[in-house]
Amino acid sequence: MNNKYDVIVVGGGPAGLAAASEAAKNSGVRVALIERDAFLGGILNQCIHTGFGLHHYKEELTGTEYAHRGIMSIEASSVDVYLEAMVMSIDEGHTVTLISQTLGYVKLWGGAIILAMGCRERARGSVIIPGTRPSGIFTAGTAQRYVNIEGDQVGKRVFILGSGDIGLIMARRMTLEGAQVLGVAELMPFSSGLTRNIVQCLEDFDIPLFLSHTVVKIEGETRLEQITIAKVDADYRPISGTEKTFACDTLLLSVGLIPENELSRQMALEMHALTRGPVINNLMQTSMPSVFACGNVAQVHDLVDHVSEEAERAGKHTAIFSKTVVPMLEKAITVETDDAFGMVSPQKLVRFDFENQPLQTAALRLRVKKPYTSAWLVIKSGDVQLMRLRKNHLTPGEMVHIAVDLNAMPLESETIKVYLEV
Amino acid sequence: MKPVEKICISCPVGCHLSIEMNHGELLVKGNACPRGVDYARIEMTEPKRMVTTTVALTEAAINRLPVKTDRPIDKDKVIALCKFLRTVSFKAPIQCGDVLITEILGTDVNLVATRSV
Ligand SMILES: Cc1cc2nc3c(=O)[nH]c(=O)nc-3n(C[C@H](O)[C@H](O)[C@H](O)COP(=O)(O)OP(=O)(O)OC[C@H]3O[C@@H](n4cnc5c(N)ncnc54)[C@H](O)[C@@H]3O)c2cc1C
Ligand code: SF4
Repeated sequence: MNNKYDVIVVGGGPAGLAAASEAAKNSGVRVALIERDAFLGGILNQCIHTGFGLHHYKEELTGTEYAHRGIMSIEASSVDVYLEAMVMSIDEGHTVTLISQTLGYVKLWGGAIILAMGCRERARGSVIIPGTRPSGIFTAGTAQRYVNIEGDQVGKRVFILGSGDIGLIMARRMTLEGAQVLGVAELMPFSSGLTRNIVQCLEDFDIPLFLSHTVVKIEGETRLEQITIAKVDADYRPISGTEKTFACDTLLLSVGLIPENELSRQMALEMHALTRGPVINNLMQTSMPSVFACGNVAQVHDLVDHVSEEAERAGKHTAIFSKTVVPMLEKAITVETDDAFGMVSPQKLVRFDFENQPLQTAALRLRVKKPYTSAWLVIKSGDVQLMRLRKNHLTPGEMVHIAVDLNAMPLESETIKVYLEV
Repeated sequence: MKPVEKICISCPVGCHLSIEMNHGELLVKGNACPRGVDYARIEMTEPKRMVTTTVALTEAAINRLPVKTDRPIDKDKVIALCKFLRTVSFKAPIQCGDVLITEILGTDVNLVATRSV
């Protein structure tokens, strides 16, 4: 077995699939794709709903169909796929240690490594709800896997805490499975889910959405029997006298995703406070030159199409990186944001690729903390305005995309800052 | 007539549409692409939805096969369709894209597999 690769991709979700097949398109680039599960496709295998692929494939697919396309192109490529193989560590930015069901303990060497481990749900422990600890409380993603892949009945009378997309999708899913969904409670005064999901997952089935509400009490001996919700004030404290109780056997927690970054932390990559993923530049390169990151491991995305797009970019640049010896010489521009934004990616911008070819634009993604019907996005370097763009319907559930003209960035500038002006 | 506010759900952009009926003619504002106009027309007359769910699966490594309707079905038939699909079962191997049931519940809609098993 030849353990030496030009590019090794960790994680076989849509990010890993797109990165690996793009890297392998370059002749002479040897690529390995490592997935801990028995199937490729990642989280898409449990996403049976439509809403995927409109940008990337120009047609609307289900998550599983989108995964199918990626898997087909990997099967048609020269990529070596390792299934049921868990990456345990990455040393010196090149040596990947994995434990495989069939091969046992294996060490691979890669000229460049792409991290595509996706994200995971915040644990149940991160939401503290007073009361007993009966069964019947699941994270929404776990319930989605039970229902859509394993085919298990999760419950009959369901309440959902959190109105992010997974919570909304599960409200419809449980309804179609014959369960009664009593309501969705959201702590914030707005939903962080896509607007279309509020329409087609809640309004279509007359499921009430309780904004500025949280679960304050859980009751039940062995199985969940009843929950109590209450309205919260501006500081998110429950207001007494506003309680409502619901008799239910199931509570789904849709409380957000965080990038899966065990390996990134192990490697001591520079991490970003807002994305909770590694700091990356527009070539998807992390603070360790031979290590790249794309997909949900770098930042939680709402559209898989964007995941594939940036993963292809990662695949392309890593393939070049693995074949060139020139290190990055130029100093990257740092991207900062004002308080209106909860996320920005990438956080560094470079003007040249690894072949020293000038890049014209860079895609910048931002997430606002609260909704705005209309606002200006302004990019400044010190006091100098570089870009000014009008944006309508900004919401936390939908990332804002801007193409930054790299030629407009002042050469000597080391920091640019994005402001939101209402 | 006052314009009706609807959110186009044809794609994840979720444009906020303002729909006005003017002497039988549909006036749509706020759509970022032509599909928004089609959505508005259908939503105002006969609302339809795509249905995705799973059906029982045997002789495969997984227990459920994800499926979808190949086109939107009348919104008021969605629940009945899902109820019916809880009674059917399929056997692997199946290819992503295979038609499993044609003209389901007497409509012009077919049921299609969305994963290969
Ligand atoms: C409920 C839900 C609904 C969604 N709805 C939509 C939608 O309507 N439209 C849309 O476009 N997008 C949607 N998305 C988003 C989209 O699915 C994700 O953005 C996309 O799947 C992220 O891809 P990824 O490859 O980064 O991560 P993942 O799909 O999570 O893949 C990561 C892979 O890495 C593997 N892995 C992790 N660690 C290791 C390791 N150490 N060794 C080996 N393998 C490892 C995991 O097993 C997994 O297979 C939805 C997501 C969810 C959860
Ligand atoms: S109008 Fe077009 S872009 Fe807007 S939500 Fe509908 S389909 Fe999407």
